[in-house]
Amino acid sequence: MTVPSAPLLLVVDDEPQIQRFLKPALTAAGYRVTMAATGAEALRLATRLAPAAIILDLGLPDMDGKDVIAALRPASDTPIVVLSARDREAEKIAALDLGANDFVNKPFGIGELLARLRVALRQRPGPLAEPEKLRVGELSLDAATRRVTRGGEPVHLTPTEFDLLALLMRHAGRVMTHRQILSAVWGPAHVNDTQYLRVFVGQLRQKIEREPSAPALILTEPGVGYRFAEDASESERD
Amino acid sequence: MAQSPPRAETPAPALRGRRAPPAVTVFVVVAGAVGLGALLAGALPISSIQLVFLVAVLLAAAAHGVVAGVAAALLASLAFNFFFIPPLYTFLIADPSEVFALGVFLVAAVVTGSVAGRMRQQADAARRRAALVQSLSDYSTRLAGCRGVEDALAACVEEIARALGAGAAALSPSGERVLHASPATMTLRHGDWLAAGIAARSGNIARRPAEPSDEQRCEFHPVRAAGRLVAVVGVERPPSGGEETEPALMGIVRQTESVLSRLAHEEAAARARGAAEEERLRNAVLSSVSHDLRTPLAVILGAATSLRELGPAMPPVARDDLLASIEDEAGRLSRLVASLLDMTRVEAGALVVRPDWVDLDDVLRAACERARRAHPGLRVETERRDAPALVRVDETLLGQTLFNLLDNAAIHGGGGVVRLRAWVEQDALLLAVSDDGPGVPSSEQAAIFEKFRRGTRETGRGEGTGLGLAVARGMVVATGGALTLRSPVADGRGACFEIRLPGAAVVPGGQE
Repeated sequence: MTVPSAPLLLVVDDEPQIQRFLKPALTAAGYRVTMAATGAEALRLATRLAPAAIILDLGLPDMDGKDVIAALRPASDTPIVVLSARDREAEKIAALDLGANDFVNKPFGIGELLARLRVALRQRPGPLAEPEKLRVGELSLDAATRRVTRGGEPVHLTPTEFDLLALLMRHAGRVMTHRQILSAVWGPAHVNDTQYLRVFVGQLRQKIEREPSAPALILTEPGVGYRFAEDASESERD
Repeated sequence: MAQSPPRAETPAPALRGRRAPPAVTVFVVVAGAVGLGALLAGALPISSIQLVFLVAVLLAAAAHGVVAGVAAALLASLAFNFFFIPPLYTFLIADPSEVFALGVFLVAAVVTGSVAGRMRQQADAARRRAALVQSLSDYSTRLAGCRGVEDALAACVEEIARALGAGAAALSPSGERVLHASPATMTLRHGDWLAAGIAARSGNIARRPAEPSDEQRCEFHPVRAAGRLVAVVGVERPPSGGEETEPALMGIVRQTESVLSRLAHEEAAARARGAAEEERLRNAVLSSVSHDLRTPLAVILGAATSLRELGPAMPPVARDDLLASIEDEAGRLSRLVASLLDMTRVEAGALVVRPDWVDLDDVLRAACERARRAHPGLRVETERRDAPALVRVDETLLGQTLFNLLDNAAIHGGGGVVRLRAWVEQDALLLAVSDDGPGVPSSEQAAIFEKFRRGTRETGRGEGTGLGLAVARGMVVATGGALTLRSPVADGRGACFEIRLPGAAVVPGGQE
């Protein structure tokens, strides 16, 4: 149950019905919850209460949810998980590129929202010192030696494939937009060259997925980007 | 005789009435010179009398131009010789020196006459140009007031007919149909239709053939607007000599084209605005529907998964509230889906109206009960005044309509008592649902029956579906009735929705 030290969540949604179920559910999941129904209130509470994370519906009565993100970033690095409709890819991409950490499609199961929150909260300290060794399931990646193994067997990757995989694994559990990936791996001049990305993701899947046609590690977020599967064993530990 | 062409003078018709024919003028001025010369003959030398004749030539030339001037000079020489050079009253000349003098006079008269005549003609031409400019300017003022293509084409042919004094007609861009003719009685011959077709297909002017033909009287000018052929204008032209009117005709056609282009651009802009507005409305409708469907689904899915995954960690009160929220949202979703289906049926014209004799009280009671179930605490007062117990209506459609109106009153009616009244006017059944809430501002009344139009008052988003009144009106109209709104009802408050169903209140067994 709620304890004073439990992380505080700021839930920004103008629908009273949504607040009605989110509050008891998040409380039961071990968070403290504060509600805001408008963007202005959200900005005020975000500054005053310094919540551990913000759950933000993009459709607010007084301002665009994206403007709330723009107002918070970059001064604050509070994780933001966006609630949005499935068919609003452009809105989600814009929110993510503005600095939102992740999104959940409405309607959603509470488990999905909690998983996104967990990842967002875990990543909060930021990759100050990038971990030398990353491990998700049977796949491990050593950033220092640039070596990748699957179940102990070495996997041979081209330098670009390695960079792409390292980026995705470093952000395991979190969505990365096409733009973010292209900018990080290929450079800012290539943010629109999604065809590179498709080709290299295809090649990577051939090499690391058990079943390349039904990928379980590099997951597609339709119209938005890719998400590397969260390590199930790790999330259980949380 | 090449007198100044009458057609070109038509822009200034007032001048025509004032001026005598040139031949008359020439004769009169020379006769006048003879008369004056006779009076002065005793007192002045003959050379002075010659000057009188010179003045006469000047006058004729100034009045009628070069030809009249030269004609007057010749006539004046003959008359001078006849009346004043001895032997008198013959064309003979006794003194050889007089022959020389007359020759000098003749040359002087011809030169004077032609110079003065040319000045006259230049003045005429200047006046004609001024008149043309004026008439084009008048025409452009008239064109500026034209609201549509038809309007502008009608103005064009009327202006051509007026300025050229010839028949004119505007034809469809295919050149196959007369849109407007001036005079209205003007007819086109076989050759005219062929020429019109050529002008329409080639986009070039189709002139009259060089050899006069009775089968073609018009030449045809293509009229373009915004790069597209919009009409072919036919103008009756004389077989030759129409060159003077060419600038006027071209001016009129070019001006018409520029106005037609403006109209075409305006129309295109208006169409684009209309399409954008429609698109905006469609997007608004789509986003409204998707929002209204998604929110209850989000609550149901979220609350159900929360109960499954976190239920044990929740206090019983929270669990109960989550269950209640699932129930509420499922109900809302069900109402919305029903409204959407109703709306779809109304819009698709798929409503089957089955009027039958029904007990009016039954219909009213059922609608009230349904409304009370949807809005616990709603107070409805029913009043059936002189309406017959049996009415001929479609029970389902009327019941749904009344429910939608009661539902609307419950949401927007300010929470007071809602009145449901029924009465009869002649053979029409009237039903009214009224509340004493804040009413509907007159600015919103026109749009209130549109789809997804919600009351501006925030009554908790998603409370109404934005479909109820649209469905109600659609159903009433489908049964041949009318649904109207009156607001405010009294003291600046209240809204009253009135259903009128003609023929529904005929007494059964009567002359139906």
